[in-house]
Amino acid sequence: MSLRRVLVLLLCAWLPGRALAHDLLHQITEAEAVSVRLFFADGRDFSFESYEVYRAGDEIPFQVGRTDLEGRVVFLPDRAGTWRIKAFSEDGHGADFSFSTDLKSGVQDANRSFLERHLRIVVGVSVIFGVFGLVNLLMRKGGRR
Amino acid sequence: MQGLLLVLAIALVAGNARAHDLWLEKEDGGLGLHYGHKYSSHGGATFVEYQVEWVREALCFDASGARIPFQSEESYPYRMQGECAVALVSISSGYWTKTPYGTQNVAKDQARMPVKSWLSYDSVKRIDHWTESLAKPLAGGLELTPLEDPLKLHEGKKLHLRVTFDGRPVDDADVAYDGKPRGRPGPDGAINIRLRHGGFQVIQASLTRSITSEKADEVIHSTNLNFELPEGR
Repeated sequence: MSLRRVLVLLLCAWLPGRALAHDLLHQITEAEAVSVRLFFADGRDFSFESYEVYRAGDEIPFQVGRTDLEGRVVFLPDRAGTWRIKAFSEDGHGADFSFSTDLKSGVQDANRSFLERHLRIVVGVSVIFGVFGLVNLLMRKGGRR
Repeated sequence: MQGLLLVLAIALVAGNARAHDLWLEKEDGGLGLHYGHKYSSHGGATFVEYQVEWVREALCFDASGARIPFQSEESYPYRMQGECAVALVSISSGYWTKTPYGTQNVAKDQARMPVKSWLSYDSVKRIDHWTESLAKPLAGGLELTPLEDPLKLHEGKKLHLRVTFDGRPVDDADVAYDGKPRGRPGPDGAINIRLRHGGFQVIQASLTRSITSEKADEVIHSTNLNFELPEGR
């Protein structure tokens, strides 16, 4: 097989990988979460309003977003300790409070299997081996002719 | 399955649904109208800058309950200059609509994906002098009326009030003191509020009425009663 054919084959193997780099993937995990419900005294939910979650002492929020339909802020703390939530609506209502939790997020690499943690590397190495195996096969066939 | 563990916590946002404090504060020889959450002890904005155009009615009464003229400044904050035994201001911030992208100051038919909408009316009555003539509703809408001289009370004493709407007693208004719910009035609109401190007093009532309209699902009426007691009394 000519060097040119090998380069073309390698390019073909590389291009799909580049295209996939723009795909938005997702991963579903189960984790321990803190759920805080915000509501008015008459029971009405503080739904779809803005909130910020801070680690104690931090100036940059750990999480920002909007409360859900039932007025909940749900987040996965990455450490035990004190957390602060600021919630505010466009019409000037709000709450600013701190609380402590011992809960640590279950989203830890150590809690996942070796295959889950290194799935991308395993797939990448498999693809490389597959491409070179194919190239090797084609080169051998070419040599027999 | 390890499961999603939710550690539940709850947090109260404000005293009455969608109600702000509206208060009249002595300043520069007159009364300044303010809007926000200075006295209702929660994390909302202390001052919410309102549009002076929101002011629908401002009334000044002498001790006999008769309306008397006063000077007003039509810029933020709205100010009243006059010898008012009782000053009463009503405002409306207009229509509000909750959407998944936040609460907007527009009617339901102008919002994308409306979830809930309401028309908001607020009022405040400030009492600086008292006579028995003032123990009656002075204006329309939702109103809190002391049945006795509130300026003679002190910390720990109960204030007897009547809640009315357009002059008639209502029993389904939520009444709060310093933003904390204190219950609903009886069938005659009467409710007693124990004063917890001296100084500036804020008693609120809020009334929600469902309506059938393309613009809103309900009308929320809120009213505030202000008076001042000596600190530590």
